[in-house]
Amino acid sequence: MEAIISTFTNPYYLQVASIMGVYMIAALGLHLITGVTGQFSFGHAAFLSIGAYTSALMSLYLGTPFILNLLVGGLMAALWGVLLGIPSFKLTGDYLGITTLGFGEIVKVVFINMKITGGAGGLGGIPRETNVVVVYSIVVLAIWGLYRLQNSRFGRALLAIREDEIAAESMGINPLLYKLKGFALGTFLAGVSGALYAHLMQYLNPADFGFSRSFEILNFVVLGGLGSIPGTVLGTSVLTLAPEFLRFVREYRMLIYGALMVTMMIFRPYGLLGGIDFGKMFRRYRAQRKSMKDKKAVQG
Amino acid sequence: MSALLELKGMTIHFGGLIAVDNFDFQLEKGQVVALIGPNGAGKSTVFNVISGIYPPTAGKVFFNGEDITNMKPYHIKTRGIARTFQNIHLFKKLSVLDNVRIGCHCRGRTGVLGALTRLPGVKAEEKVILEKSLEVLEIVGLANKQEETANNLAYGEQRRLEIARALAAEPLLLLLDEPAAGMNPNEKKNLMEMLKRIRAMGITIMLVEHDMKFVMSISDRVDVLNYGQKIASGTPAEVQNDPLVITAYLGSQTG
Ligand SMILES: Nc1ncnc2c1ncn2[C@@H]1O[C@H](COP(=O)(O)OP(=O)(O)OP(=O)(O)O)[C@@H](O)[C@H]1O
Ligand SMILES: [Mg+2]
Repeated sequence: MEAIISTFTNPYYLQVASIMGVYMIAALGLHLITGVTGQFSFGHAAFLSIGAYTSALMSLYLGTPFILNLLVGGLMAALWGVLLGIPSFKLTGDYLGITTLGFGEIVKVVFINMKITGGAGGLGGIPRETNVVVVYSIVVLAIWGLYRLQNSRFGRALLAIREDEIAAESMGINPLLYKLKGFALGTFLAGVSGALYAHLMQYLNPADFGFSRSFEILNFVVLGGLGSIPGTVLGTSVLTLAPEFLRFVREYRMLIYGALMVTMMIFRPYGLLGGIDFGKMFRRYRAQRKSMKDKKAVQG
Repeated sequence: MSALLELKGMTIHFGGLIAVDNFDFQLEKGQVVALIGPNGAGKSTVFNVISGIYPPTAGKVFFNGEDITNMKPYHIKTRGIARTFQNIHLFKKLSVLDNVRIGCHCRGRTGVLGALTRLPGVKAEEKVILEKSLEVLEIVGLANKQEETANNLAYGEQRRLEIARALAAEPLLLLLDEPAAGMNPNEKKNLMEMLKRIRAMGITIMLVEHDMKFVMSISDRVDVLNYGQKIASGTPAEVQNDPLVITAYLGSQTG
């Protein structure tokens, strides 16, 4: 018993759990963009960094409440998401992948060269406001919100765009508008995640938000299953815990991610849990039970 | 009475190719009109222009008296034109029910906030959408497959799901691009009954189809395209006996 309690209060484990939750929120955002709407983004980490620096600077210079800083961090990321999304989605074809890739590098360079962000030396002294309870409350809230979104007229429109844009358009869906809204929501979550990260690590460095971080988050989403919320949670958990506890995974991380991505794309393009719809399984099970009951009723 | 749909001098060029050439066409409310012609005659292209997927090179499209030329597909849909695709465009990995629900898109208005809050108005809207979806699935005989993934349906069922999805929006005009393609005689017979019921609901139908027996038994009027030009227009009997049509189309099939 004591061993269990000390596990739960061990600061190292708590820190790992918090980080995992922070990445889960970012991954859930990318899930909405890539898994649900079908738009590839290779610069998700840039939106994390925008949320991180915005909220950290607010904490440091304005002293505004943490919850407000979180919110503004998310909104600032979403604002840049919209600014980048408009030209990217206006062009026909998958331009978002290219523009987000470029955007990611630009943001990094800008943060390295700005004075207020501490430049390449990083930004320290951020108050530690994030804890495991805050993180997982937001994870639960995000999952709940995404679940509701996906099972609504709005979410179905995003799915329709992923499945077949021409057909979606012919059903009365404005693809530009919906892609933009999906992207704004996804980048908002990235911004919130970055803000939590800033107030957990208490130190930010632009190098932490480069392409490899974006690629890592994309891996979280792809491994578990594109388009699946449980898959995203699973993928993030496995891929954040493995390098913590397995030394060789830590050392060859990028290599493993690359290999994993290729393997998944070939053998299970929809991820470990992709294509498995728990809601549908449940509804089927209920329908079966009901028909069995009806049969019994008829016989009896 | 003015026409429900009117095409005036519609012309579409693809590079050097003239796919449709100065095409005039009229459709009255309640009619079933077929557009026929050999492969590559430009039939699907006409549908793509009416539904807004391609802008015409020249000419105008009027619907219900309104100029809809160059409008976006998602705006045209809200005017009351729904379509099916020759090369099936279903939302493959979604359920049959969700496919049809998406067809109801313009009948709802729930956005992000509505989805998150699920206020009574939103729930009521979902209920209307569900009822409408089940109703159209019933019409096309797919009500028992609503949980199935669209991709898993047989070919003929996929064609019927396309029709259900189009009907879900309660259109004034239904554009059907080769609805009977790939169906066996029995399925075709059922489809014919289905189209008669849809027509009885007051929905106007414009149809592209290669099966002559099918076309002749359901259409009030038949227009014939050949190399993008209209070569005949009239009742099925008139068109069938038109020498131009026989050489261009029927002749090439029987001979
Ligand atoms: N997007 C496009 N770009 C270039 N050429 C096109 C395009 N769409 C159609 N065409 C050409 O326009 C002509 C008419 O094509 P369309 O698909 O309208 O014929 P159709 O009458 O529907 O034929 P089918 O009976 O085979 O379906 C064809 O020569 C076709 O190759
Ligand atoms: Mg065609």
